[in-house]
Amino acid sequence: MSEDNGNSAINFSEQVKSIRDEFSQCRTSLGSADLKVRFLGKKGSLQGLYQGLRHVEDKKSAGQEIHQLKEFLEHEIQALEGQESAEHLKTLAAKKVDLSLPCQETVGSLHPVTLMKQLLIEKFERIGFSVKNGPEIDYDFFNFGALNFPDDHPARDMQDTFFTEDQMVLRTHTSNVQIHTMFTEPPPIRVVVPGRTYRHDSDATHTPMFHQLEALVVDEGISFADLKGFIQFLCASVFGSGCKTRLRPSFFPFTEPSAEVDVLFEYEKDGKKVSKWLEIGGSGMVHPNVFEACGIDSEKYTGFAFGFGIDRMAMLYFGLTDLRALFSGKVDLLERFPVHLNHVQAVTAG
Amino acid sequence: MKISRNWLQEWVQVEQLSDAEIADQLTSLGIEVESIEVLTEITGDVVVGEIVEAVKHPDADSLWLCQVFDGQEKNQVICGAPNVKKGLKACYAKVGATLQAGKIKLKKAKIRGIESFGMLLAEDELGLSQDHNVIIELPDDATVGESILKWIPLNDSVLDLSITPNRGDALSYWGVARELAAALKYEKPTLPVPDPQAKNRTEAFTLDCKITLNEDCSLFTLREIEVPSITVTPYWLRLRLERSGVRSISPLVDISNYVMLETGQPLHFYDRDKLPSPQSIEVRYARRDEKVKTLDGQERTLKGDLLICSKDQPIGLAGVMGGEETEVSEQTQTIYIEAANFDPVPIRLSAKRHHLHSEASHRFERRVDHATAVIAQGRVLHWINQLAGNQLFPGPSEHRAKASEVLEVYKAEMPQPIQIALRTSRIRRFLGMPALLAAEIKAVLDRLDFELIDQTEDQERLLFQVPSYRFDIIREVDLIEEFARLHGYDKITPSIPRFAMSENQHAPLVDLERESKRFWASRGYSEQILFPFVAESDLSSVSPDQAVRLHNPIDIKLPFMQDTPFFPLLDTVRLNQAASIEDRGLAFFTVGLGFARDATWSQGKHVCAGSDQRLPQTNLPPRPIERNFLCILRGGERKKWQKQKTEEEQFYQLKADAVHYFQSMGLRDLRLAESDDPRFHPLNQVELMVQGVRVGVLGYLSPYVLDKREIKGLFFGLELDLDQVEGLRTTLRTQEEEARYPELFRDFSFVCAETVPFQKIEETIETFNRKKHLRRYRLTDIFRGEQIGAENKSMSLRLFFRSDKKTLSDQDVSKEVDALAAYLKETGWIDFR
Repeated sequence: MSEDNGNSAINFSEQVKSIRDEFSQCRTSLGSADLKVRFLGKKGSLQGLYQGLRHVEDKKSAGQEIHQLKEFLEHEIQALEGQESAEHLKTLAAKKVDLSLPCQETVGSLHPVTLMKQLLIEKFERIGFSVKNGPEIDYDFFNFGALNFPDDHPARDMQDTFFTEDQMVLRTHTSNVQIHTMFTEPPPIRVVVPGRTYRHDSDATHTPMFHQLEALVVDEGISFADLKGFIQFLCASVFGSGCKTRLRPSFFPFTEPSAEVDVLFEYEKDGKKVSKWLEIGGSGMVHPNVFEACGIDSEKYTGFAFGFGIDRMAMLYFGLTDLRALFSGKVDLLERFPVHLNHVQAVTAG
Repeated sequence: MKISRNWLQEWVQVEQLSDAEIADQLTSLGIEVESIEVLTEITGDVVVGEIVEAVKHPDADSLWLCQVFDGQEKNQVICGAPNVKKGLKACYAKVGATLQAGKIKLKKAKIRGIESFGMLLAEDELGLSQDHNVIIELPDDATVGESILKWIPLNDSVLDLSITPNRGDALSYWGVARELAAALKYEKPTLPVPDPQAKNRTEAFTLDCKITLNEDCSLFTLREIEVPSITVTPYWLRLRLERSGVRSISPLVDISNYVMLETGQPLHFYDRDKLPSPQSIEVRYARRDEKVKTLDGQERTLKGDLLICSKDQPIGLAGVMGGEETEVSEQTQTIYIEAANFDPVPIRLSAKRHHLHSEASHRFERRVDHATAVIAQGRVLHWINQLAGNQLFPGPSEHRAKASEVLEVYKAEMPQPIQIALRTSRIRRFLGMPALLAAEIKAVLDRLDFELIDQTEDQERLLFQVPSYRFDIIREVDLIEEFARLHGYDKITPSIPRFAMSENQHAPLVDLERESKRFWASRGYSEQILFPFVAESDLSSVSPDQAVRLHNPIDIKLPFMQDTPFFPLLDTVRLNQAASIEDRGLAFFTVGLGFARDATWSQGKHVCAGSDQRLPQTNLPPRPIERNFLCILRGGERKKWQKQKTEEEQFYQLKADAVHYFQSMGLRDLRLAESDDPRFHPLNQVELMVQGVRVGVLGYLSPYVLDKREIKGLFFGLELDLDQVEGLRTTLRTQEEEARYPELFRDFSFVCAETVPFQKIEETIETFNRKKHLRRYRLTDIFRGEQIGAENKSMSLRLFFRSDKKTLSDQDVSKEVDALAAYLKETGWIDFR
């Protein structure tokens, strides 16, 4: 830059003009981003002018000139930016994708029985129950004998049994795992056993294979009132806090007192609120004969056990009406279910 | 068991309760009411009408023109019955009445030009029989204008009760009434047993018959009666039987059933004159190949059955069914009435052996009270006398049949009444009722006939005597239940159990199964749960003699337990293809057991390992092996919404899911090995090996298998042994790497035979021990073309190099690439072009 102060004003004006020329020359070839850097950036032309300002006498008019130039550049670049973004949008529009098109053909799902089973198990896990499993083909002793079913007693007719050719049984309930557990673990016991069970029965409301969830609690001081409270707690946590339960006297050889568990379902029918007790399982206090068969002191320990029909509960929960459809393999039914069940309000059956 | 409300009301005063209230009471006692059927057979005015005038119809000789008085007015009714006569009291259905639960509606009619207002009824119109010959003649003392229900109790409710197998005592009207009376705090119902011996003292005689019992018959009572002529079963009795689910057969048989339903005591009537020897009856076990023809006309070959014999000839299957030869008939003049008591087990075995489940066997299996046999004998005589009047309607009968005294023979040791001590502290703790008073316990148990025999001063120990009909009450806990049941479960305040804190310890596979299911469902596969019953042809890997076969399969065509859920799952593909009009992609998975006796199978872990040592029996068959499988199938897919995915794309989708699954479950070092599973494509299948252990098989399904099942399109499958997977799970341990120097890459192509699998290249590169900086590589292309020969393919790899110590130079990398190339070439099965 010249040290000649007399010419500085002229020089300065020229500089401003040359910047303007330069801008009009390259505004078509460069994009707004590049122009910004070249003219308004930290090392840009405008910054150079500011630095030259200290050599100019008439700082006021020079300053005004720079200011005008700056406004001009800013305005031009902004306009260009607007233009560019409009063009950009146009290009984008040409590439617009219809996001609403269907995607994958198969939808993954968990079986409603699995969903119900996992929902239940999670409740038990939270309060410290261990999840156990056991054999589906078992000796008569574990399925019946140790559970206080005498040989040749009509109580055995309550459960139509599948036998293998060598007279083992397909377990008719998950209660065989009660015995396996009590034989191998000392009290206190807190276990839950979900699993497949089998009965020789096939009609609209029975399938030869079905699912049960067995719970067993053995400790000192467990009472029938505890069983009542526990079932109420469990059903409320599955079906909602307003869920009403009822225990109704019944008979199972391995519990005494024994009780059927009913849940009150409320639903609308023809615009009216209707309620109905529906049976979801059996329960009771572990029979002292069972404790004694397993070598547990029935005076010291008491306990309760219950078995819920998972399939039945799933049907109530999801509003299904045809039990057999659950195991029919039809993909259009299966795909209606989600992969995970979390705090979904129960849909109640009619 | 079905019960008629009309009948029940004779036992216990429940008139003021609705059907639903009775049902609720029974339910709360533990007697489940499965259904209530309200029988409204007749509605409107069906009354006792007196024929005050009967003249022939002017235009029809066979018709009567009657004037029927209904208590208020005379009505003109036309009737064709031959027994119409003046003064007859008939069942008169007025216009507007309905019969047979609405099937017949009475309207004004014109018969041969003359109006008829209503109808005089025959049995068929009331649904009592098919008889249309005559109109019903009501007794003379019937009050005109009254409903006919008093005489023919057609309207009723039928409650179907489910009696649990421990409650044999409730299999009678008496028993049900006892329970209801206890619950409602009514007086205990008792049978109005006439004292037949007192009333018939002049005619009673001593029965001359020698009775011999064996150990399984504890009581045998016998009475001889000279049967008066009984021609009809009264309407009311017939209706009661039918509503209790028992068919009316003949007056004598009906009496026998009626008394059984009343008292719970099964009875049998013999025609005395048909007995081989009326002077002797013996209860004994059948000898080999003895035969008896039972009442149902079936000849039965006996095998260890308990029999009733006369002169050593079998005359009945004890407690199950009598014999045909000594059956009572219309000609029968003298009968023997048997009311006995048999041990439940032989009766149950006989009923099962002969598939002959009778009302009698049902009750004996559940035990019958010894005290009812004599009572039932009295009831039989009572009803014979009642029916001897041959009245169709209820009414007194003055008849007295000639009957012997009841001959009672007991086994030497009769069961003694059971006494049980109940501890007040125990029942409080057991039920969780800390404030329960001894007085309350006693009051409740007293209603159930438990007699307090003794008590300690502090009332801690209460000694009760069990009534003879409560076979299910054996120990203290039984009394606790009785108390809870009658007190009401709903009156026990619930509490929350208190547990010591402890961490849950799940069994093996619990977590794996849950995680696996979520994984595959999230990946787009739908879970199937299927029955494990299969045909022989659906066994995958075990021979029929190693498979588990059912003795009583639900479907004779599916007698085996699956050895893997593979084929049941594949069947759902066919089923869904058949059900859909358009082919669509299907992706399924299932987790299930495989059962086998094959010793080469590894046994999954079960809690039963320890408990099997506690089995009381020895020489039991070994446990079948149960193995957990995860089976996955997919195929038939289209890409997005239009194009078919290529075969390879479909397969690699499954493979990618599988690889990701292994990684997610913590399985490292997955290798593929050759496989020859016949369910899969002969060439396109691999075994999956993890740390040298076979965990499953992956591949294209066999076209032969798909064809045989009529499955359209290609399908791909994966079968995993979850027990193995569980054992191979590891926790991830790794160190973070800091890449301080840049990475370089080189593309590298070679030619090899089509048959060389990529895994071979991978394995070779892994064994190249001069690799220093080769960090990773990626397959970028596979090229096929004439220039490299039809048998060959060219593979391109992109190799990535990096050093921890310096920035690598081109030279460094070239050196290493050359060395690798040379190493690969040395193997002899790759070449460079």
